[in-house]
Amino acid sequence: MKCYNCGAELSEKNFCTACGEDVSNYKKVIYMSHRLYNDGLEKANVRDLSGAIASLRESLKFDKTNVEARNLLGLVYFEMGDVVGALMEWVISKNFRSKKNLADDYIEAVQSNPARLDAINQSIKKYNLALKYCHQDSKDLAVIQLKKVLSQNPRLIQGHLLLALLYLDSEQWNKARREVDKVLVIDVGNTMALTYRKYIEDMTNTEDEEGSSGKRRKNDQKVRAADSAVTYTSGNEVIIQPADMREPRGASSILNILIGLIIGVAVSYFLILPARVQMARNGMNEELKTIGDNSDAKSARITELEQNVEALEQEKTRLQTAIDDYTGENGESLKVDSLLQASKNYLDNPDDAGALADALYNIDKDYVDSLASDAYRQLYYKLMKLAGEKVASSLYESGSTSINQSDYTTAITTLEKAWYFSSALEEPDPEILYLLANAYKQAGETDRAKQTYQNVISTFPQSEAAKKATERLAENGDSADEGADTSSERQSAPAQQQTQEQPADDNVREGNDTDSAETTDVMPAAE
Amino acid sequence: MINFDEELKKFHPSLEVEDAERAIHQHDLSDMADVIVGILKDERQQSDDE
Repeated sequence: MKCYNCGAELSEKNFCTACGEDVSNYKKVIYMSHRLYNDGLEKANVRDLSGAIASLRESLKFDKTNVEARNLLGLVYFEMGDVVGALMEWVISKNFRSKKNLADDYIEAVQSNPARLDAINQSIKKYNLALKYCHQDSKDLAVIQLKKVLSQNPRLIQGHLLLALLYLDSEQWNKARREVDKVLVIDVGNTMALTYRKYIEDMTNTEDEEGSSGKRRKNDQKVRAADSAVTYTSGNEVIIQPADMREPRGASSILNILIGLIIGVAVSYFLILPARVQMARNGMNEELKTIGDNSDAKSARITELEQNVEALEQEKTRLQTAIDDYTGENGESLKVDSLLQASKNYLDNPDDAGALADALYNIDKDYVDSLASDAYRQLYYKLMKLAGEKVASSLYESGSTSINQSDYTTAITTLEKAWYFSSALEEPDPEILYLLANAYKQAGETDRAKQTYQNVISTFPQSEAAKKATERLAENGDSADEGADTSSERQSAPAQQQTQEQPADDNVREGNDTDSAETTDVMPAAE
Repeated sequence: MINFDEELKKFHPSLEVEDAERAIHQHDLSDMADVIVGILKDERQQSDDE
C-alpha cells in the first residue's frame, strides 16, 4: 500500500511516515476493497459467479487499483461467456500494472485463437439479434437464434436465461428447466436462474395437483418412465435413452459392424448387382449387334471384291491367252512372220522352191483356212501354187526312196510334208497320201495307216490309190513283206529316183497328168 | 407469475469486440479512494486557507 499523497510505502501507522499525511481513512477503504475481493474469491471458488461479481465490483468501487480483484472479475466474466467484458477488465488491469500482471496471460490466451474469438463475437451478435427479436415479439425467431448462439458459445449465461424465459412464456416447462439447470451448473447462485426454477416448480406442481387420478397415474408413469430414462441434450438435440442402457463397446460394436457389412454386401448382391449385370449385358449385346452388322457389311464387301477378283482373273487369263495366241510359240505373229519369210525367200530367189517350201511348211493350214485374214490366205495359196507342186513331187520321190531304204521315220516325215504341199493344190495327188499310209503301216503305226487309207478312199474314191487302199484295208494281218509295197510307180511322174520294184498292185499311180520330167532340186528326204 | 416483458427488461445487449475500446474509454474508474482523497485534499486546503 502506497501513500496517495507522496506515493511512499505506508507502514502500520495511520499516517504516512514520508509526508505525514493522514491515511487512516484511506487505509480503511483499501482494506475494505481487499475484504470484498476475498469474499468474491470465496464465492468464485464455489461457483457462485453472480455473488463473486457483486463482491468484486464492490471491491473495485473502493479501490480501482485492486488489480487482483479486476483480474478475477475478468475471469468470472469470461466463465460466464462475456468475453468482451473480461477483456475490458484485463486491459484496465494492465493499464494499472503493466508488468508482472496475470492479465497479460489472460489477454494472450484469448488473442492467440482469433478464430475462436471471432466465433464468440458472432455468437454475441446473434444474441443481440435474438434480444431484438424478443422486443419485436418474434419469439420463434428468437428461439432459433438463441439455439445457434448457445451451440457456438455454450457458457453464455444470458443466452440460456433468455431462452429459458422464452420457454417459460410458451409454457414449455421441461425445456425451460433444462436451460435453467445449465445456468446453475455454471453459476450456482444466479438469482434469475433460481427464480425461474422456482417458478417452473410452482407451475409444474400446480398442474400435477389439478390433474385427475388418471392424469396422476399418467404422470406417475411419466415419472417412472422419466426415472427409467435418462434425458440429456446434445447440441440442439434432446436425447432420451433407457437408464440401464449401456453403450456397446469392444466386441459387440465390432460384431455390429460386421453384421452391417454382411447386410450391405447382401443388399448389393441381390439388389444392385443384378441390375448392373443386366446393364452390362445390354451394353455387350448392343456392341455385339453393332459388330455383327459391321461384320456382315464387311463380309458382303469381301464377297463382292472376291467376285471382282475372280472376274479380273478370268479377264487376265483371257487376255494372256490372247497374247499367247498372238506372240506364243504358235502365235499369230509367228505365223505372219512365217508367211513373210516365205514371201521374202521367193522374192530373193524365185527358183529356190525349197526355201519357199521350208517357210510355208511352218504355217498351220487349219489356221489359214479358218482364222487367217483373206489377204493372208490368198498370199499363202499363191505361194503354195508357185512352189507346192514341185516341192510335193520332190518330196514324194524322197519319201519313196526312204521307204525303199526302210527308213520309215524319215519317209513319214517327208511324205507328210509332201502331202502338206500337195493337199494345198487344186488337184492333190492321192498317191502321196497312199504312200504315206504305206509308210505308217511299215513303221508299225497300224491305226494311222488305216486312217490314212480310209482318208484316201474317202477323198479320192475314183482314183487308183483308193482301189489300192481298199485292198490294203481288206487284208488282215498284213506282214512285213508289205514293206516291199512301198516303192512307187508313177507313170506320169516327173523324173524320179530309181526305186525298188514293187508289186504291181501297189503304189501304182494312175491318172497323173504330168509327163514332163522335171529335174528340180530334190528336197532333202530327212529334215 | 412471470411477466415476459418485465423480465425482458432485465436483459441488455452484450458488448461486441468492436465496442470494447469505446467501452473501456467510457468506463468510470472513480472509486472510494479517489473520493476520500478528494475530501481530504479539500479539508487540507480549507485548513490552509484558514
